[in-house]
Amino acid sequence: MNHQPFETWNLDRTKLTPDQQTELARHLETCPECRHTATAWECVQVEIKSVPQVKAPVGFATRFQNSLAERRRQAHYRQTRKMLGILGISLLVIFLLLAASILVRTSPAAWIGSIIRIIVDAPFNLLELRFIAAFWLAKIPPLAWIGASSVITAWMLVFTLTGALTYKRFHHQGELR
Amino acid sequence: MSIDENELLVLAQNGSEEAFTQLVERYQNPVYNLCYRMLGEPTEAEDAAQESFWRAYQAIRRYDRSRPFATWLLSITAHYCIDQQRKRRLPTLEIEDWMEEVLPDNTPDPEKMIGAHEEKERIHRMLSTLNPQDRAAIILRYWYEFSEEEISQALQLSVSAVKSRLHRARLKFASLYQADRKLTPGGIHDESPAF
Repeated sequence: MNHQPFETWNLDRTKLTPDQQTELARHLETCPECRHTATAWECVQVEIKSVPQVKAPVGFATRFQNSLAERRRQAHYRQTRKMLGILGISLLVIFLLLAASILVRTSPAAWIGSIIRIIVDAPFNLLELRFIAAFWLAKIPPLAWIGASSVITAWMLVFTLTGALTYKRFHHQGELR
Repeated sequence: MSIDENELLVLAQNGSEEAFTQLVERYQNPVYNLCYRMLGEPTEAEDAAQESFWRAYQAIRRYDRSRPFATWLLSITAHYCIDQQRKRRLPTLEIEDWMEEVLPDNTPDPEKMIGAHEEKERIHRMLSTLNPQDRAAIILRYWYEFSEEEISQALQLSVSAVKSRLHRARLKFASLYQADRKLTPGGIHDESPAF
């Protein structure tokens, strides 16, 4: 049996016009099914109103405040991990794309041949590199050597100090396990 | 919205932890209540309420002060609870399960005889039969007196979707109530307080 629109009106009478209310009342007089539904829904509404709002446990706000620092740290850690993950995946994708493009253009036999050639030629190439390096290093004036070594030493110190401080910080926060 | 709350919101948006904690103190009960009604378990409700406040804290800078803060906060809470229920796949009671649950057991429990407790239990069980979004809609409508438009904004649904969800939930509640009353002595009477 089709009870529309009375079924809808029956369960939400807040927006009914006076005419619709009269029409609904008339329908309810003749339809026991809708009358039962109306009675049940009225009772449910009364019960809903009788169920009070549950209060938050004592100390809820304090617990939230206390957890803020830890939550911030965890969020920072997650973000760093996410960024490193994205960086790693990007590098992997680039590497795979390069490998794929090389594989498409050259045959596996040429690849193996190139690898063997590189291995065989490596000692001669290294020797050549050594000669080239020695030739150019001999051209550098002694003062430049002092300046370059100072810059390199300073950078090494900065990197070591930053690394040590970072390790100490993470270690104390228990983020390095 | 009181002036104090507006000031607190400005401070919180500018990064004041203390101001946000005061907002937590103000809204802890409605947020916790929503979580409790959605999840039905106090420990889970507290965890969900804490997480909801944390999400609100992270997003506070994006909060538009022309909107009521309570609606915004409860929207975050409702979404989180819906997600939790979906992830944990909390069982929704079917009518057959409901019928089994309401059948009287043999163990004597004087507390079950108290009307108020029985009503709370019934409402709790009725809510557990609804799917997460219908449950959120009905809780926001009847515990927080949200309008259909506010519910649609909070749950990111169309107004017609909210109307249909509310209608479905009301109909289910009415039929569950009828089923429950048929099993208890006295049964359901034709005349409600409204008639």
